[in-house]
Amino acid sequence: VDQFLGFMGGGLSELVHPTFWVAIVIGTIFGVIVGALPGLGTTLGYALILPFTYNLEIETTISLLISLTVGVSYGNSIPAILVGVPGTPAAVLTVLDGYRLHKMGKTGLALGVAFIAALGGQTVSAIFFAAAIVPLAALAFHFLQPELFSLYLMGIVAIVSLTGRNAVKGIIAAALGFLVAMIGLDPVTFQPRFTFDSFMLRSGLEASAIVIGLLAVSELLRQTRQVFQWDVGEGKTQDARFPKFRDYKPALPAMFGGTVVGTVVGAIPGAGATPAALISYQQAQAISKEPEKFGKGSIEGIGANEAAQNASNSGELIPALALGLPTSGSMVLLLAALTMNGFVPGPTLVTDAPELVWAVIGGLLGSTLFLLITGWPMCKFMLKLLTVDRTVVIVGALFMVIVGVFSLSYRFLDVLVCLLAGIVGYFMLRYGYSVAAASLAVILAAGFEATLRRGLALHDNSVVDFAVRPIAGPILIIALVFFVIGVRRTIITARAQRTLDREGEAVATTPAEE
Amino acid sequence: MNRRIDLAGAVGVCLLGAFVLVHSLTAPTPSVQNDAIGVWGFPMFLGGLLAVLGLTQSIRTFRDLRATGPIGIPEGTEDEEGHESSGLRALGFMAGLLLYLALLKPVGFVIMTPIAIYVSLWAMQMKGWVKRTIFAVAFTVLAFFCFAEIVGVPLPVGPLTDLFLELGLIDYR
Repeated sequence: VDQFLGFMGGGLSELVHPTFWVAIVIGTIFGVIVGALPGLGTTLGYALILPFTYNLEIETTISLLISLTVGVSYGNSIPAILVGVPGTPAAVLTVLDGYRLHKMGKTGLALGVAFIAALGGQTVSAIFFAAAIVPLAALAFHFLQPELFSLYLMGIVAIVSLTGRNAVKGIIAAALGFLVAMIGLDPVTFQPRFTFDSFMLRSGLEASAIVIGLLAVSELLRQTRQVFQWDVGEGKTQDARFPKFRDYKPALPAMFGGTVVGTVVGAIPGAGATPAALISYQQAQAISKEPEKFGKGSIEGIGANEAAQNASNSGELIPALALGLPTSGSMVLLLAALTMNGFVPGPTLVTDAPELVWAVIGGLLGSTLFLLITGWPMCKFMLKLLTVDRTVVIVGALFMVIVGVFSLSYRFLDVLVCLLAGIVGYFMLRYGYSVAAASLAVILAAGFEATLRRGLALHDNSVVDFAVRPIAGPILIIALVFFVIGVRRTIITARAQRTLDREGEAVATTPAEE
Repeated sequence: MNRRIDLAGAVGVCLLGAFVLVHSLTAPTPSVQNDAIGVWGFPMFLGGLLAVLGLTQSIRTFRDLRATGPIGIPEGTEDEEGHESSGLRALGFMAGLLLYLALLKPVGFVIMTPIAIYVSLWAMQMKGWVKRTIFAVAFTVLAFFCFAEIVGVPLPVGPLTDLFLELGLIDYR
């Protein structure tokens, strides 16, 4: 308790410095912009801003970077809801429910739930960070390949609920996603697979480019089929008011669950925001009273996903600061900033330099407070931009995606891959193959395969030894339970849908027969 | 939903699965100790799965095609009601975007992008050539400023490279 109060007090004391607030304001606004631009993300944001921090004090640098992370996690949900383009892969599931709600005219509800979930997730996880950095750092030592595999399996199980009305097509979509992720070097032996002697394919295809293509470009191409004229009256009626408490109350348990899952999963080396969001989404659906709404405009889905990915921010800081284990590209850059300033990340850092922990907590709380004041006006501003003309939005988004994907690694191959994924995704959308299932498979495939094979190798290929480990075993059982529940629900929903379709077809054909 | 296209897709999946399976079975495999699944274990499984599921879906679709004709109940995302729809326009966009990408390096971002955006807005029946021109130019200038000038993304400028270098707008070739 003393340690927790000491960290919290130190974090709050940082907030009295004006330079700290300047860093928070710049970091958060820059983060929201980076998060909202498809193709960019926390790592690129860190890389862009890091050169400007060389002459700053380390506490100010840390708060700037942390604020940027908070801004990205919030900013990526805005285009996900308004245009159907996930700013980062972690916002993939926000697209499913948020964009659907936007199209239903419930934009305010979707944005409001994302806003509350993001702020709630950040605040609770900042407190959790202060309380748990020492004990969770010890737990992180126990997460080896089998434990990581069991987490990936939890994410894979989430695909079951995204297969759509035709389960065969859903599984085909997921398998295609897995297959695309196999292109490049094998993660264990580094043997090339499906490269066909092409040098460019040896490093594999950029997962972000494929996901943006499958989810965003496909939907934008689908929208180019139609002509939209705002001047005939539509589009101006979008409800963008902040939702009332009774409207978002059903999503509160999912937000709480997402916060817990996000913080814990984020703290596991090798996990991060995307698996945290997927697992949280799956558990929220499993305990929901309205699971059939997930993927079709569920505020619980948005709440769980947004809370988890925001909460994972503080989670991934735990192994980075306490163990010196970076769990993502952005954490590598954070550690680079620390080492440039003479700090040695590792178990002694928390006790030797508590001011760094204070700066993290101050940055998390300060940027959350700043977003509390400015986050909603930012949403409204972006919504106003969108209601200008839908044709402009569609065309602008298409070309913005192309520039954004090019800026990932300055490779035309990435843009080509993104466009081809978009074209394939267009036909998948039109013919009922789930692009969401394919996207999740692309994201999870490499980690899933690598952790399974390495984990088995560590246990002399004994599946029993692999599965009965104290942490991996229970997670595998939970994944199995979720899988059974998910399959059962998918079958029930598919049957109900087929019955409705048949009835609709019968009604449609009756007059003709008469 | 056009069942003939649906059938073609399912047959394509089946053939892709068969190709992946054959490729995985015949590709050279390194002898790695203690790797029970192996380099080609996952691709082999995926190839088999795609071949079987593709075949299953093909049979289902073929059966439906013979029973109730080429137009079936939509399984995917449908067009929004009340708006004119054209599949050819979407296909045109796909071809146009690939052409834009092919010409982006030789012609350059600042020349290709306004042309591509203007044509896209025209294809989407946006009224007024002045509005289309203003948006196309404004987007290009803003995107170039944000990405090339602020973020440092080396967007290609094609034949304008020397001029932009001289003006100090870029510092790359």
